[in-house]
Amino acid sequence: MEAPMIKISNLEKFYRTEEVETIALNKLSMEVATGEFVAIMGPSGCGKSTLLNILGMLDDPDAGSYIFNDIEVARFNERKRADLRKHNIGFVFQSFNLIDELTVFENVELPLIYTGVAASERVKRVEEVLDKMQIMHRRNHYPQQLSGGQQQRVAIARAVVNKPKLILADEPTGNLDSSNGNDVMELLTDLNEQGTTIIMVTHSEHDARYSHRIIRLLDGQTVMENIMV
Amino acid sequence: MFKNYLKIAWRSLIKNKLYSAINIGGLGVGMAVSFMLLLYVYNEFTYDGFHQNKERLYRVMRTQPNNGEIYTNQSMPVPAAPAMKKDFPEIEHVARTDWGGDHLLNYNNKPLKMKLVAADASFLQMFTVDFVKGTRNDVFHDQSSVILSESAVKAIFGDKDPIGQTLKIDGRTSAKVTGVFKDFPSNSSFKFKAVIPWTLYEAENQWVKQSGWGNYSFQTFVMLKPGVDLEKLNTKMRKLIERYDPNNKENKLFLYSFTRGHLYGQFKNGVNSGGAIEYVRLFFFLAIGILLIACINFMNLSTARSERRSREVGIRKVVGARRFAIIQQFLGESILTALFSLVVAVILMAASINYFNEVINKHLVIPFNNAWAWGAAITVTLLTGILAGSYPALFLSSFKPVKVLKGVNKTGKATLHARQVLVVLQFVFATSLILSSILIYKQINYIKDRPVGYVKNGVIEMDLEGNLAKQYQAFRTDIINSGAAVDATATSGSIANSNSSSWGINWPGQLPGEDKIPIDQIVTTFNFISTYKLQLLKGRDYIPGRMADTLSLIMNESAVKLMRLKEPLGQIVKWQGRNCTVVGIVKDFVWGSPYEPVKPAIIGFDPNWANQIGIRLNPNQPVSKSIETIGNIYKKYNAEYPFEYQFVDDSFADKFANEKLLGTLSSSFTVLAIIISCLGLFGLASFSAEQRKKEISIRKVLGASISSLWFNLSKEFLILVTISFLIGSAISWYYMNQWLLHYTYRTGISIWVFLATIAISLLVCMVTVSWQAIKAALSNPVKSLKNE
Ligand SMILES: Nc1ncnc2c1ncn2[C@@H]1O[C@H](COP(=O)(O)OP(=O)(O)OP(=O)(O)O)[C@@H](O)[C@H]1O
Ligand SMILES: [Mg+2]
Repeated sequence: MEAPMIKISNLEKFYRTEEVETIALNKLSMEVATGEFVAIMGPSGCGKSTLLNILGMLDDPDAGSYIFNDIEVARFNERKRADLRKHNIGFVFQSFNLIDELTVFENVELPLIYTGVAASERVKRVEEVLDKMQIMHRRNHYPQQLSGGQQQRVAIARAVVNKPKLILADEPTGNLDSSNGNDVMELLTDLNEQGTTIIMVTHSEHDARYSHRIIRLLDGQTVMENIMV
Repeated sequence: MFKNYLKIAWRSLIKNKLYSAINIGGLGVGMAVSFMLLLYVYNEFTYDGFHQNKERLYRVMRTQPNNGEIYTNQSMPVPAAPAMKKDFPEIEHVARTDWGGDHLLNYNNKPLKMKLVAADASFLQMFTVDFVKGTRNDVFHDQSSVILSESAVKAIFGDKDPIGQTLKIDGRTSAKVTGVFKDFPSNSSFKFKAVIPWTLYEAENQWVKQSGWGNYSFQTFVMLKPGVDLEKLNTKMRKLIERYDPNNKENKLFLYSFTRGHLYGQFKNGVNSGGAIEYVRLFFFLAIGILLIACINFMNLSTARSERRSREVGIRKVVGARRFAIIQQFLGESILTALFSLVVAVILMAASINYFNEVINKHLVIPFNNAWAWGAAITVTLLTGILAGSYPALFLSSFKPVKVLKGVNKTGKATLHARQVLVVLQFVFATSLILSSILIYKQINYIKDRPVGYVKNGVIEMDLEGNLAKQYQAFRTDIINSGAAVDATATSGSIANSNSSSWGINWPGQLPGEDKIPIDQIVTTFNFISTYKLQLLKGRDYIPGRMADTLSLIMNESAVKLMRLKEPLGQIVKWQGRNCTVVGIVKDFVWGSPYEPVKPAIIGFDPNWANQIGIRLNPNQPVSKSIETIGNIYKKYNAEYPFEYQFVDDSFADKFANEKLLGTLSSSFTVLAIIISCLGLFGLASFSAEQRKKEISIRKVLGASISSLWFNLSKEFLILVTISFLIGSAISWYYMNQWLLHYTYRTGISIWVFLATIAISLLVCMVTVSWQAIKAALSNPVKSLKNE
């Protein structure tokens, strides 16, 4: 059998404030295979975003192991994580997180700039994804001039422009109405069918149905897994 | 990638127009001022630096004990120069000059007053005089020659070729123009526009050749051969005068670097005690200080703004930016802003350099076509950009993307503290300046209000020269009869400047050695007391027409005290070799330094010493009318000479020109520092108001009053300004105390000075901060809550 893309074991994450220590992840273990579409669900505060951030190497765990494509990354420093991240992982957030001072085109172009892609090649690739997301006609607009659904499509375009192997989405439909939400889910499904691994946090059973497998968390631990048919 | 940074930088500048303007403007003003100050500093450091032989040029100095102190002097006896040349093989050239005063140059009956110096021909071999016509080797071939600067030629001859033309100097000496030289740069000790050979000067003034080793009337310069050990030569030089004049053991000579003379020209007790360098240092520190507070502004505003940009940083990191890329981006932005500021600074400098020159009485020019100056300006700009941008860059790039995006990045206490420290630093500087300015003005006023002992308003003084010297009495009668003047007197010098003293004075009951005490003297004719309105305490004035008064003497109170005369009137005092009877005592009047107690002074009587006329104008008619009348009468007597005069109160004010300059500068810089600091404060206040918009709205919904909201928003800044005041006033109290110690007559540092300073600081702070606070407090709460 092929090795999983992601394998975490006994992952722990604590948050310490002045008085209380919160255990956000409690000896969590799980695997995600290449090409899978996984949904993570659970009540508010159970550690979903924390998990996603660690998977995306935006944060580091306090204990445990995280093997990404056969490499142990749990102890990587910030710079190594940044390098690994920019070539392999795309992010989609609930609040879009576009840069207000940049146009649609420039926002999508950003990851290519940081990976050192040549200018002419950048134009080609950005136009390609904008086309695919059907927002080509808005390329010179600023984020404030777009609707929420359009902004999220730009954010997805930005997440995929570098052709990442993994897309992490934290409540991508949380700020959208159901029709825009469905569009986004269709886009993610398309990407998954073309081979991209997707891990998505969601509160919506409806959205979760697009995935292959649902992982349910409670208090930082896996409580149940549902395989979708 | 670079283009992307530029784009973002440009857009964020455009998007926040107000903050960009504050940022660029504040730094621009700061740079303009500090560059101008640095220009001044550079100008001073290169003073006299254009002489190619500057390393080997020296001025001969003389020390002389006087009253238990050693006085250091530049005046030299005439025979010293040839003797040095003969005795010291280390010397390559030596040259004497006179002091280069104003002389009348007449060509075709067009008389012009110009600075003219008489110098040995070797002078031209030593100093860099840049000849346009003629050469340094032959211009003084003939004794009756004169060389002129280009501007002098322009003034006298216009576009005509001056070579070979004859000038009449002071109405008696004829000299042919043999050379033209480029005017000296403004930062030159030499200001003269014409030079005549020393031989011509000696021929016209017979006494010069005969004056011996005891007559110190001229300057002497030396150029050494390369590689001479100065210290060794100076030990030999010390006793030169004694060698030729065995009775004269007191006067000793030494060589002092010519170029050093400008900045380090002050000697105390025979030891160098600085000089203009003190002002240069002060200016330098001001320049750095102003630049620093402008940078602080920049940093403060950038970090404050960075809080709004933390999200952008987070996103950039998520999509793959390394920390270094973020640092690059923010440094790039601050460098770009600094470059904009440089443009603003250059424009401001060009617009204000003339005003600045007027204030400091210099001729600075902006070196627009000097590559080095541009290099330096750009280097300073880049450094400023890096310095100002490094803190926000490092700080911003350290944001953890997860936290920023989640919005938990409450930009820790550390940055808040850092910003508070910076604000305090700025205001420490500003409050120190406020306090110092108040004190400097207080001191100037204190001196101005000091009773001078005569009435200095409405009196003019002018030189008694040419024909006027012979026909003084007729002139005096004419101007009084015309109604322009009410009184006039001839004196040996201005009442506003003590310039003469003498020793060897004997009085009854004198102790041994007291005849060595120098006593100030002003020598007058009749009407001295009435013209200047001195206060006669005892006895009488000199009686007009009574020439026997050459054997009478008037003294001031301090002189009486010095001589311990119980009943001064009628006592015999020996002065200038004459046994004079004391006939009058006047109240002390300020003649010398207004900061020192009045010294003993003798008002002698001798028409031969007359050098100047003091004229009291008619108080019942406009000054301009009186001056015009006097001018017309003057023309009748002295057609050759231009009519020039000085108001006594102006001459008196010149005595504290330095203090006034200091006052003008410190108050200008105070205003500037306040403006820059306030710009920063304004920016910070608006950020804080914006950041707390939501909090304010909630408070308002819950019923807070406008005034309580205002206080809530302003109190942080008021506390910071108060802290700055405490530190700043302690610092400036210390330094101003030291400064005041220079003056015997000095004002005290009273409590109201501190109260005024804190009042000014708080008021300025309140006005600045309140604008934002009130705006925020008045805004509609629904709007800002909806925005969340
Ligand atoms: N920066 C932090 N400091 C302290 N505690 C934190 C921090 N971030 C998260 N936590 C805590 O860790 C736990 C897990 O948080 P996390 O954001 O992962 O929850 P979540 O499952 O994503 O919730 P939601 O569905 O509401 O987004 C929560 O109890 C939360 O209070
Ligand atoms: Mg979450």
